[in-house]
Amino acid sequence: MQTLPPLRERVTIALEDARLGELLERGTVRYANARRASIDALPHGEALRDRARTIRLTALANLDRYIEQLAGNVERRGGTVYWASDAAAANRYVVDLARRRQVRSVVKSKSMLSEEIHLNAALAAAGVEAVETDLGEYIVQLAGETPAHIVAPAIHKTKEQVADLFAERLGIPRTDSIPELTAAARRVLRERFLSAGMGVSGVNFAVAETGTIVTVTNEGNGRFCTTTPPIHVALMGIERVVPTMDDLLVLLQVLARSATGQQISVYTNLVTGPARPGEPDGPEELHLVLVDNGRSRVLGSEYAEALACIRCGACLNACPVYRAIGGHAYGGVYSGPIGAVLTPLLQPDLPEASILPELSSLCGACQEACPVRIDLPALLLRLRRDAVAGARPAPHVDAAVPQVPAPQAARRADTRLGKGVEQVALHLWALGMRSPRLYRWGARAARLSGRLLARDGRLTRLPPPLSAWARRRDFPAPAALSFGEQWRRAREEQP
Amino acid sequence: MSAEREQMLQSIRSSLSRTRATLMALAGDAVAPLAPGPGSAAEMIERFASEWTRLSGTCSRCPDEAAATAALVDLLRARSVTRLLGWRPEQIGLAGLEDALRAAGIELHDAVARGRPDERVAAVRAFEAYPASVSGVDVAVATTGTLMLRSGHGRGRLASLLAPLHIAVVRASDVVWTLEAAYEHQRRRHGDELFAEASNLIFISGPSRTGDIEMVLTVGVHGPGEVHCIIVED
Repeated sequence: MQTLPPLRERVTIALEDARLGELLERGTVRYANARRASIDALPHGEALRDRARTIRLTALANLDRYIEQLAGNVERRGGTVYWASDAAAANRYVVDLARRRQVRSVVKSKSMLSEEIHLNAALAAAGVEAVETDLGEYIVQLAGETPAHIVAPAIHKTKEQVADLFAERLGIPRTDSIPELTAAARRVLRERFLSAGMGVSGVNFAVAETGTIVTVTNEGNGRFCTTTPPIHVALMGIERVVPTMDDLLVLLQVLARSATGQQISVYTNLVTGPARPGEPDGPEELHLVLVDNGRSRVLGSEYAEALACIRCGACLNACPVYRAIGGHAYGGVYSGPIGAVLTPLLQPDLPEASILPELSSLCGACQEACPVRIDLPALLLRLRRDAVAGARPAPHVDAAVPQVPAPQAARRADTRLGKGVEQVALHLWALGMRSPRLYRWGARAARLSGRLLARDGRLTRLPPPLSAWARRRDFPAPAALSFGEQWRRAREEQP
Repeated sequence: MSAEREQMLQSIRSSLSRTRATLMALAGDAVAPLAPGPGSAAEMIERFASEWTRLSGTCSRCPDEAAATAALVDLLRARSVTRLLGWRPEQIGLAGLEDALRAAGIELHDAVARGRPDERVAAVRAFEAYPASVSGVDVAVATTGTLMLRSGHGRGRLASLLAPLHIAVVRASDVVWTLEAAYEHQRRRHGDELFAEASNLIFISGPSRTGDIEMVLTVGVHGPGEVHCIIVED
């Protein structure tokens, strides 16, 4: 994390990686098509999304009530609830618990929150080895990387790369066969499941009315992590709560469809307290760690809607920027449009977090794909405004109360210079737009100089002071004739 | 009541004092849409079987319990299974199951893995070698091809997780149309205290699968790679 290269460099590296581009294109397009088809297959698919939105936002609007109800019911069923206001508190609790129970080996099922708080590093520092058990997460962990996609962590890897990795790290004979690679991971991880002293899971949703923790997986690793080890620790962002079981069933249907196009994931695992006396298996202890880590602050800001996210990854698959650069270029734990919103809010200390919202064309595909219809373009625009305004608090909120720290505007010299130039340019633009003759003259001048500067039909360089702008963008060379000129000529040629 | 808890709740409340109204307005008031219903009970079973098969599960349909027991034994014999992990016979609910298994030389073991960490590890390790498992099913969902299994006395979770082949016995009368209907079915049967005696409710829709390497579908990554349903008419 300390050696993160600058954003521009990360984006350039990703764009120049042709193999990555191919993998991303194939993966995201397939997911996006599967999503569309599975929503369309339901006569009430769009109504289900509307209901999902109502459920998520109602839960957020009453989070104080539902989170207390959830905690009360988890305790009533014999679970232990720990309230962690930040990453350090959450990690401390889990590490202490592992120490007290003399746990040396932990199996983990996918949890983006654990990536956010860097739980694995905290456990490792205490001499506890945590192994990711979702195949994609396991691959990424072996490679020493972070997930490149919310639901497909290893979307950026070819089978040949996985083959090399497994041969090197697991000492198995090198094979490109995907079933054989999967079987190898199964063997290694099965051994871990049998012997781990603690299972750590994420939480897709938690149901307030029953105190039920829900994890959704296709592989079954989530079931193992919550069944074989004597202790189950569930890590949950406070926003994941839903009021009722009926609400859960609606969300499960949109989650699977939006994530992979499945009607429902293979395993939906509902855990309510530790194993009861007389039950033949299951954990002896259940600990639910409720993690705030900036969420309650976001809840009070104009970005609260972002907390409705159900982490399906649909906005990543739909986003032309994500499709081109993949997850690692974003630098934070969360990528794609939702990552460009969440990272400045939840990981504001990440270098250049505040300029991540610029990794968007604002085309609206993310909002269109989002199962709960989060207005991502609006949130991205507001974050851009905040980044430009520096640390000024969002306007409609009371300035007396603590705010989401507007992400430090990591503005570079060229942007600051660009600001003055931009203002002059906008003045000239306004002037030109008011006079047809001036407009035509200006447009012709720009067209001529544009064509002179273009190379192979693209404008990649501009003279100062526009050079800063053009350094990050290229542009097709202007046409020889403007639309107006072409129109006139065509009319003259008509008989 | 811990200080952390109070502090977090206070922080949530103070934030909501500013945004609760906005969030309620954004929430709107969409109600849960009704999925189109089934034509008949027979259509429900058909749909379940077709969805389950589409998920690459397999399925046999039996006119009565005796036929179901025979189908189970045949399946196990065909694979030379001699040790079977599972729910207790009375929880699976097939009359004569124990006798039929015994006659076929197949031992049915209740998957008990509780107690001290070392005892648990030893138990699960022993069960790991079993080639197949059998369980009942509390309710099945036709439209999604989903089995719901409730844990409890004699109803281990490992019975649907550990072995490479899981055989599930479903009663035709326990097949319902939607997820919502399935939950309602359970609530009717067990009341509001559905989870008082059951720490786990699992929805299973097909074999364990992954697409994590180049999105190529591979089954049996951690859970069973083969799932077989025996549907018993009743």
